[in-house]
This record gives sequence, structure tokens and C-alpha cells, in this order.
Amino acid sequence: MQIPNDLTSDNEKIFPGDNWFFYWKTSSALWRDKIAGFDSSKIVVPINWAFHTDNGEDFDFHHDKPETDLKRLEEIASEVSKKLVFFVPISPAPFLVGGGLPHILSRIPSISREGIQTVVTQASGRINKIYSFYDQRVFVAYRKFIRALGKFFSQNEMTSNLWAIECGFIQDEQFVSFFEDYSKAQHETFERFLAIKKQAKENNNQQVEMTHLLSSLSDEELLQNEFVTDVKQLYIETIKEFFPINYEGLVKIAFLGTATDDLFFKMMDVERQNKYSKDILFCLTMNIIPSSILLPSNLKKGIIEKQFKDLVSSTYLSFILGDHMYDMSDDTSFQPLTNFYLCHKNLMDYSQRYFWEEIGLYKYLKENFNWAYKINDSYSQAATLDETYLANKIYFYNGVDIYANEYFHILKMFMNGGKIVVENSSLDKNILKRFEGFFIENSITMEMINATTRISVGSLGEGRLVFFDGTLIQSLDEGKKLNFWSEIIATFDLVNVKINSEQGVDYLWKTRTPMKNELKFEEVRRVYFYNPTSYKKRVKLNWAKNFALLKINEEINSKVQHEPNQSVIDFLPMGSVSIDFGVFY
Amino acid sequence: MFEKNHLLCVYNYLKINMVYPEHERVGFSANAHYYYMLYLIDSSGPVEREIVSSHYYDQYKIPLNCGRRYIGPFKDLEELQGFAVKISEKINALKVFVLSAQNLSQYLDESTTLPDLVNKIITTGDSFENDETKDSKNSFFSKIFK
Repeated sequence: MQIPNDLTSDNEKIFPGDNWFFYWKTSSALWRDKIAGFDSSKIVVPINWAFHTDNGEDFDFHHDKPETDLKRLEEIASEVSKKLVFFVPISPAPFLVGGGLPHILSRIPSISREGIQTVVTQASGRINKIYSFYDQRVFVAYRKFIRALGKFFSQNEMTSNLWAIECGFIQDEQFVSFFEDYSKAQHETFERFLAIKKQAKENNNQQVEMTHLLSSLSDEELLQNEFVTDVKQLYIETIKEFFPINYEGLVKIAFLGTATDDLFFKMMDVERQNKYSKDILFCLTMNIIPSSILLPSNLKKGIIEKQFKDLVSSTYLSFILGDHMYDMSDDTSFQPLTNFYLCHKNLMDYSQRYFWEEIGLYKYLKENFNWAYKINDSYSQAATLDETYLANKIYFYNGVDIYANEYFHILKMFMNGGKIVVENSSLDKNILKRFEGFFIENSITMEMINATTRISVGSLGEGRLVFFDGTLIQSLDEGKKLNFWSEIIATFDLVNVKINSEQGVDYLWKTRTPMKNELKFEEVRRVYFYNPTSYKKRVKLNWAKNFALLKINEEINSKVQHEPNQSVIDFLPMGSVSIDFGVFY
Repeated sequence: MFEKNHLLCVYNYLKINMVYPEHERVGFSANAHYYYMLYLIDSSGPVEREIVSSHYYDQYKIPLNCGRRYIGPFKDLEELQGFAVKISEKINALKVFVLSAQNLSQYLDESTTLPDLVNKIITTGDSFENDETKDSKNSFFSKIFK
């Protein structure tokens, strides 16, 4: 393996993709020409903290380096009819040297969950080392910088929107934040957090031993989760405090090519295009923005570029750049289709996270409802109980994750027509009694079914509440697990098209409300197909009675043919196509 | 640099809440530290899970059941290294490099580029040659050139 000569053009260094502009990588004298010549009218500007300070105390916004003058940048953009949006990292940022920390603060390397120093390899082969945000000096300095930046914005009456961004990557179908860190700094800060918790309990006259506070591994992980959330919130609140006018919210951005895995795959020269294609689709189901800016130029082309154009630019970037409320075009109103929510209390608890995989649900959903599922951290679960929202959605809970809040939320969903599936072997006995009490009080008959395992089903109007014992499912072979889920899901009457695709082809469904001329349908769905492999592939769609073919969009290296009761799509390498359906319920 | 027929193994000594009843039967304890492989990868990507699971079962007579990412637990480093060598034999890798997360972090700290890093691993990291593949390769060439 050799370091390739850095083939990134100068323009690509300044505009690395996804509408981003690295203002520090070019002379301010060239800003006007560069921005005016950029294709899109909307530009994302990430703030480079280290560029504006050497010592972490004094900040340069237009005094020494003209390239730090963000007000001038905003003015130029306005003069050439471009709209700017600023991104401010609340975590280490892989697109900045050292993760974005000023050199004087880059002291303690960030350590990944595997115990490896966190690094990001650039397209040139250079290793960019990431440093911890848990160092107390870092937060103090960050706060000073954000205060100074906010003051600059305010004094100069800068009106551009500003978003806080949490940077991360996708690994094992999870968003891993660069904020996640197991360094010495994190450990010391966590110890202080525990001491404060202990003190708080003692102040409330609760005698507690530190060992009791950490009586089990899962307790420690829960406290870790709470600690990380609290520290992250400090960074977010800092931005909210000093940008009361400009602040729009927080977004998560997953940078393709920056996972810990990628380090090893790059060392071994492993082809990863398939993986990046899947990561993009995963991000869309999790409301995370995927970013290609750190991929080498050759990987950004082809299927990845098509996916960004089809799936990312038209939805998330429009949302971020503020157009979504006014643009009623066909493309922008499609949203990823989600039929299934897998709810977890603590995403950092490994054994719980893989529970649904062990009982075969993940495999079933992947094979039959590709990417139509979301993994929800129940801490952040929105209390959405709208009936329309609950239609065609099934919520899964592991009993061990159900506490009082989740119990009430489940019942509210059930009473509003929601469909919930609960694995009850680890359900707390008191919570189980409360469920039983609810059914008796409301005269709901629980239908007992002894299939592969013990299943009981309660119905209330449109609402369904299914309890099943997962311990018996775990020991089954894969085929029986899939059959079990097929039977369970079939009872919910979800409408979908059965797709048989060869391995390697990926697809994603999106949905939107019907337009004026489509009112005979309940919804309109679009399925996007991508073949990121170097092989020919075939996909078959079995016609479902609820679906009417509306149109076929952009057959690129692909051909759709209709046969009785099915459509067959043949893909050449790097082929793609999307198909619209009207859906009846 | 890493060649096409090299295998890379990175491990760590961890306490993970993934010890099940069948593990306890063969001497593993819950809430204890063990060795886990974090990465086992060659130029085709991660070694297939079926191959790893099968060899793990052969070694410990229990299923590999620690989530989709890690391979383990292993009782000591020698058992882990031995496992890595067996996998290299199975997939016909010429050599397997076995290094700890700590060593890798040290190399990362000392390196500025990816080739630097790979060079450090190859020249200073622990490696085990697959004698079977080496011998068969040598005998193949010896037949041609005798």
C-alpha cells in the first residue's frame, strides 16, 4: 500500500462536498470568486475553532487574519445571492486537525470503546489524531470561544442560521459519536460526576456506598450514559446561551470513512463502497445526516453520489438550509418510511442491544422490510401519540427496559390505536401486574396463543398489545425464528411489496402524502434501488393488491420489465432506479 | 506493507457483560476480565463469522455469543494467539499479526501516515507464520523450478 499522491483538487479542498465551504483553506481575496462560482445557492460553513485562536484566550475574527472575518464572508455570500448556514461542532470534528481543538489544548488523546486511540485517516493517508473533549480545560476554553463568537455575531448583526453539530460515524448499525471517549480525562471527569451524585444522595439523607452506586455492570453503564448526556448537554447549552437568535438546533452528522473499522480496512486495502452505501441508508432511517466530505474523490462518485442526490440533498440539506417548508416539489416531500421501532433504554448496554438480533427479529426485518425500522433510545423517544402517526407502525419493547414511564407510554399508545410488541420474560413483576390490572379494569380479553412460544394478545379498537416470551425463541434455528416473526407481523396487516433481491443490492422506501391528483391513494411510496457492487444483479418485486404502479424514475444501468404478478429489475454494476407506487389501505 | 495474504488481529483485555450460562459451564465468570478479539481482518474484510464461530466452538464447545463485533472470550493471551493462527490456517493466510489495542494506540501515536503505521506493525508487532501455507507454497515452487 502506498500513500496515493493527494489527488484532491484545490477546489475540492475548499468545497469538499455536501455544499460545505472550508473558508480557512483559501485566501479571503478569493472568497467572492469561489462562492459566486459554486453551483448551489446554499452553502454550509463549519466553524474552525483552532483557526481563530492560538492560545485559547485571544480570538481573531477579523483582526489579524482576514480569513477569520466571518461577517465579511456573510456579506459576500449575500452579495452573490448565496445563503450561508454555520455549523458549530459540539464534539471532536474529524474534518479538522486534532478534531478541531487549538493545539495548546490537544493534550489527551481520545480513546475509542475498543481501547484504541481515536484517529481518522484522511484521503491522503495522513493520520488525524482526535483529542478528548472531557478535559476540563477544553470545556472552559470552548465556552470562552463560543462566547466571543456569539458576541461577534451579535455586534455585527449576523443573521445566518447556526446549527450545533455532533460528529460521528456509523459502525455496526449504530451512530458512534466522536464525543464518545474512554480516555483518562473522561474517566477522571466521570469519577467527579459519581462523587457529585453520591454527595447529592447523601444530602438527601440517602446513605449510599460507592459500591452500591455501581452495584452491577449495567448500573455503571446507565450512569455512564447519563454522564455522557449531561456533559454533551453542557456544550449544547453553551451554544444556545450565546446564540439566542441564530441557533436553530442540533444535528448529528455521520462522516463516511471515519469509523474505527475504516482504519483497519484502509490498512488492508479492503473495498468499502458497499458499506458506505448501507451507511447512507441507515443514517436516513435514524434522522442522521450522512456526509461524504472525508471520502476520497473516486469513492464520492457513482452510486454514492447518486444516493446523496436522491436521498440526502433533497431532504436533509433542504431541511437544514431552510427550504423544506416552502418547497412542495415531488422530491422534497418524500420521507423515509418507518414501520418498526425497536426501543431500548440504554443503547450502551451491549447485551440488550443485540437482544432483537438473538431472537431473529433483525434478520426478519432486514429480509422483509429493509431499512423500514428504527432503533430508538427510549430516553429520547418522542411522546407522539397521534393516531395518524401510529398507523402502520409497530413498536417493540424488551421487558427489561420497561419502567414506569415506558409502561404509561405503552398504554397511551395502545389506547390511541398503537401496535406494540413486548418481550415479557424479563418484565418486572410489578409492571406485569399493572398491565394485568389495566386489562381487567378495561375488560380487555387477552387471547392466549401457544405457538412457538407463549403469546398473549390484547385488542382495544385499532390498538394491539402483544406479549411474548423470547427465551424460547432464542434457542430456535434461524428458519423457525423467521417463521415466528413472519406469523406475528402478518397479524398486523401491514401493507408492503415483497422484494426478492440478490445480496449486494440495497433499497430504501420513502413515503409522502398524495398530491391533489392522487387522492384515490392513502399514500404514495417510492422505492430506491442501488447496486453498488461490481456485478450484475437482479431484483424481483411481487405485486401486492394494495399497490398501484405510478412511474419508474431514472433507470441508470438498469432495466425494469413487467411480468405477470411481478416486476423484474436487472442491474448492471453501479446501477440504480426508483419506482413510485400509489398505496391503498 | 500488508500483503493480500496477511491477517490482522487486534485484541483487548476487557470486562464485558456477555458471559452466559453456557460460558460459566466451561469456566468463564460473569463480571471478569477476558481477552477479546476486536478485529480479525484480511484483504477481503472481516473473517467470515461462520468460520470464526465454528473454530470457537471447536475450541471451547460453546457457541460464539458475544454480540456481532467481538470474538471471545479467551481465557488467556496464548489461547487467543493460537486461535488466530488456526484461523490463518483455515483461510490460507501466510502470516497473522496479533497486536493489542494498547500497542496499536502507541503505534498510532508515533505515526503520521498510514504507511508509517503499517510499517511499525509489520516490523515490530507480534506475528505468526502459517507454516502449512508456507510449506505448500514452497513445495509448489520447488516442483516448478527443480
